[in-house]
Amino acid sequence: MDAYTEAVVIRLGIAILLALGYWITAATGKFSFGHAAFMAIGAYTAAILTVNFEWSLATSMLISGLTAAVAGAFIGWIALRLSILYLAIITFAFAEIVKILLDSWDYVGGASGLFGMRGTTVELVAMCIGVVIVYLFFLARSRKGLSYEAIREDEQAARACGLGVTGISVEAFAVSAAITGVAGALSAHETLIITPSQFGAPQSLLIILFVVLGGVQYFWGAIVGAVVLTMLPIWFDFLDNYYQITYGLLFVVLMILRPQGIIGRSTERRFNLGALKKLASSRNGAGRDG
Amino acid sequence: MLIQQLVNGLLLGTTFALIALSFNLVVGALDRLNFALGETAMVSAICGALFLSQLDVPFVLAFLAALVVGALIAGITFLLSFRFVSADYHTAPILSSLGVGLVLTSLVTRVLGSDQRRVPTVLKDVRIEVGPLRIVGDQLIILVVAALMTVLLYIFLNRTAWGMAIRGVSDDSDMTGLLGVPVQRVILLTFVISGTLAGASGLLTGLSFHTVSPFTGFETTLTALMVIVLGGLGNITGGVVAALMIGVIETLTVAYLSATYRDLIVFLLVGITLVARPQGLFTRNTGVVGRV
Amino acid sequence: MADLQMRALDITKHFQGVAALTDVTLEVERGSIHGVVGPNGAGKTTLLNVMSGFLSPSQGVVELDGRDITRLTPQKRVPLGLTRTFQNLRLFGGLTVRENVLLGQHSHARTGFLSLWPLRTAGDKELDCEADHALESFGLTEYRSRPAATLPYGLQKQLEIARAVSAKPRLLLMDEPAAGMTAQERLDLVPRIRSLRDEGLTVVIVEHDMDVIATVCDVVTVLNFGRSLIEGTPADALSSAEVRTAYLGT
Repeated sequence: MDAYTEAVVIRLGIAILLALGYWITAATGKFSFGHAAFMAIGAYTAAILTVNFEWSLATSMLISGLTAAVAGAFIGWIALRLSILYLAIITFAFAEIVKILLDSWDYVGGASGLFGMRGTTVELVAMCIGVVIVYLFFLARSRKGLSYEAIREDEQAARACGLGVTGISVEAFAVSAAITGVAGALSAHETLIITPSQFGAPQSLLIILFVVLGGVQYFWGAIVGAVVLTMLPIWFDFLDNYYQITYGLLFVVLMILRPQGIIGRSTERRFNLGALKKLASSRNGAGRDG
Repeated sequence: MLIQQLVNGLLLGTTFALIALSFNLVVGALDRLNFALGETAMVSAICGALFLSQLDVPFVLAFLAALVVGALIAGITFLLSFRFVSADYHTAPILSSLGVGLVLTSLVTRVLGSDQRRVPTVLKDVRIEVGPLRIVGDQLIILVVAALMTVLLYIFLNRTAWGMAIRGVSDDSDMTGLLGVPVQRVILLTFVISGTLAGASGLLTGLSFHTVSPFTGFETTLTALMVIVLGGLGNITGGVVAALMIGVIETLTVAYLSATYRDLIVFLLVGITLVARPQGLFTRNTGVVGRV
Repeated sequence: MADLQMRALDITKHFQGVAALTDVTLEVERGSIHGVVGPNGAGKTTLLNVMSGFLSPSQGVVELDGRDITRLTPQKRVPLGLTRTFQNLRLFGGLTVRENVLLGQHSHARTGFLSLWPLRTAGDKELDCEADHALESFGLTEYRSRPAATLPYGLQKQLEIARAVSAKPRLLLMDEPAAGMTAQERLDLVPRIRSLRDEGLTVVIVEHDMDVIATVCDVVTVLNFGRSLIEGTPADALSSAEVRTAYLGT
C-alpha cells in the first residue's frame, strides 16, 4: 500500500469509527451536537501521554476512551434528564467550552496546538473498528439494544415498561463518547499535529451527518454514511470548495425527504412530503384529559 | 469606572435580549429551536452594513432593510426546516436549521467575501455625560431601539389578536387550533417576528462594535442559547433579564479579569443553573423535565 | 377491613394554577376490577398518571401495598407490580410485535453489559417462552414479526395489554381501553379483563364508555370537575341522581 492510499484508508477508518461511536447515542434517539469535543478529549489525552510521558499508543488510547467516557457520562447526566432541546444546547456549548479551555491551556500549546504524535497504522484502526463492530453486532441482538430502540421510539412507553430511560441513555452516551475519544486519539496520531480549532462545530456536524445520512436503524448505515461522505470530497475535488454548502443542503433536504436516513425500514410512506398536518400537533406531553 | 462598565454591560445586554427574544419566541411556539437565527442575524447585519457604507442611506433605512432581511430568512427557514419536516423526528428541525445556517454562512462568504464590514458611526456629535458616565450617540440608538422593540413586542403579544394567538399556540397548539386559529399562519408569523428581532440584534451589535463579520453566526447562536437557558427556555421575560445579566457579567469580566474568562464564566454560570435549577433562574414551572 | 392494594389519598393536582384534581381519594381492593368514570375533563387520566407516576401530585400520597410510592418514577413502580396502558396507544411502532412484548418484560430480564454475551441462560429462555405464550393468548402469534404500527387498531390495543401484562404486574392501570374500538371489540374486551382478574391481577379501568364499566367493574368511582362524586357498585353509582346530572346533564 503506498503512502497516499494508506492515508486515505486511515482517514476512512477513523470516519467509520466516529460514525459508529455516534450511532450508539443516536440509536437511543439522543443527538449530540458537540461530539467533536469527545474527539478532542481523546486526542489530547492520548497525545499528552505518548508525547510527554512516552506511553505506548495502545495504552494511551485506552485511557483516552476512559477519559472521554467519564466526560460523556457527566455531560449526559446533566443533559439527558432534560428535554432534547437542552441536550442540543448543552452539547453545543460543551464543545465550545472544551475548545476555549484547550485554547488557553499552555501545557498543550494553546491555539497553536500539540505536535509530534505518530504511530496510527491501518492495522490499529482496523482492530478498533473490528472491536466496535463485534460489540454492536451483539448489542443489536440483545435486550440492551432493544431498550435503546424502545427509547428512540417512545420514551413514555419505555418508562411504562420499566426502562430507566435516563440511565440507559447516559450509559449509551458514555459508550459513544468513549469510542469517539478513541477515534480522536487515532486521528491525532495520524495528523501529527492537533489544534483546538480542528475540533469545532464543523467536525461535530460532519459526524452527525455520517449517521443521519446512513440512518439510525442499522449500525452499518452509519458506516455507509461515513464512507460516502469521506470519499466524495476525495473523488470529486471541486467539492472541497463547496463542502459547507453541500453539507448544509444535505441536512435540509434529508430532513424533509428522509429524516430516518437513506437506510432503514420505515413504517411510514417512503418520502415524507405529506406529513404536514402533524406539525402543529407535535406537542405530546403526558397529561390532561383530551 | 464601575458605573461606566455596568452601563456598557447593560447596553451589550440589550442586544442579547433581542436575540434571546428571537429564540424564545420559536421555542414558545413550537418547542423547537431555530439554530439558524444566529446566521440570520449575521446576514441581516451584513446587509445593513452594506446599505450604510456602500449606498450611504440613512440609518433608519438600513435598519429597516436588516429587519426585512431577517424576517425573510426566518420565514424561509420555517418553510425549509419546520413546516415540511415531519414532527415525528424531534431532532430533525435542529439539524435542518443548522444546515440552513451553514448554507447562509458559506453563501455570504462566497457572494460578498469573507472580509469584515465596517458599520460607520451614525450619531457623531451626540454624547451624554453625567459625572463620570459617558454615553455616545450610537449607544443611545442601541438602547432606545432595543428597548422600543422589546416594549412593542410585549404590547403586541398582550394586546393584539395576533399576539394573543401566538401566546395561545405556545400554550396549547391543539386547543388553539380547535378554537379556529390558523395555527400554521400564526407559527409563520412567530418566525417572521423572531427573524425581525434577530435582524435588529445583528445590526445593533454591529453598530456597537462598528464592524460585522460573516463568521459571527455561530457565536451569536451560542450566546443566545446561554441566555435562554439561564432565563428558562421559552420564558420571554426571564430571557430579557438573563440577557442583561450576561451582558453585565461579560463586560465586568473583560474589564476586571481577562477576556479569556469571558465565555467560561458565562458557561459556568449556565452549567450551575442547569444542575441546580434546570427550569432556568426565572421560571417557576417545574414541568420542564418531562417536556419533549 | 378490606384488603387494600393501592391507595391514592387526597390527591390534588394543579396545572399552572388550574386544579385538575381536588382531594381525590381512590382505594383499590386487591383482586377487584375498579372503574373510574366521569365526563371529559373530569381528571380521570390525570388521576391515572398520578397513580402510575407519570405526573407527581401537587398534594397527596400514593401507596402501593402500604408503601409510599408518591415520589417514585414510573419505571421504578413497574418492578413493584404496577403497570399501565395508555389512552392513545403508545406502542413502539417501528419494533416488531414480539419485540414490544419482550420490552414489557424489561424489569425481569438481564439487561446489563453481560447480557450482550450470546450464550443464553435458563432465565432468558424462560422469558422467551413467556413472551411466546403471551403472544398466543392475545392472538398475536401470526403477527409476531410485523412492525407494531402496521397492525389494525384493535390488535394494537391487544398488543398494548399483552405488553403491560408481560411485566407480570399485580395491578394493571388501563386508560380508556375501549376507546376507538368497534362494538365487537368492546364485547371481547370484557371477558379479557375478567380473565386478567381471574389470573390474580387487580385492574383499574379509566373509561368513558359506561357499558364496559357497568358490565365488568366491581366498584366504580365517579369523578366530575376533578372531585370524586361517589363510590359504589356500578348499579348504585351510575343510577345516583348526582351522577346522572353530571354525566347526562339531565
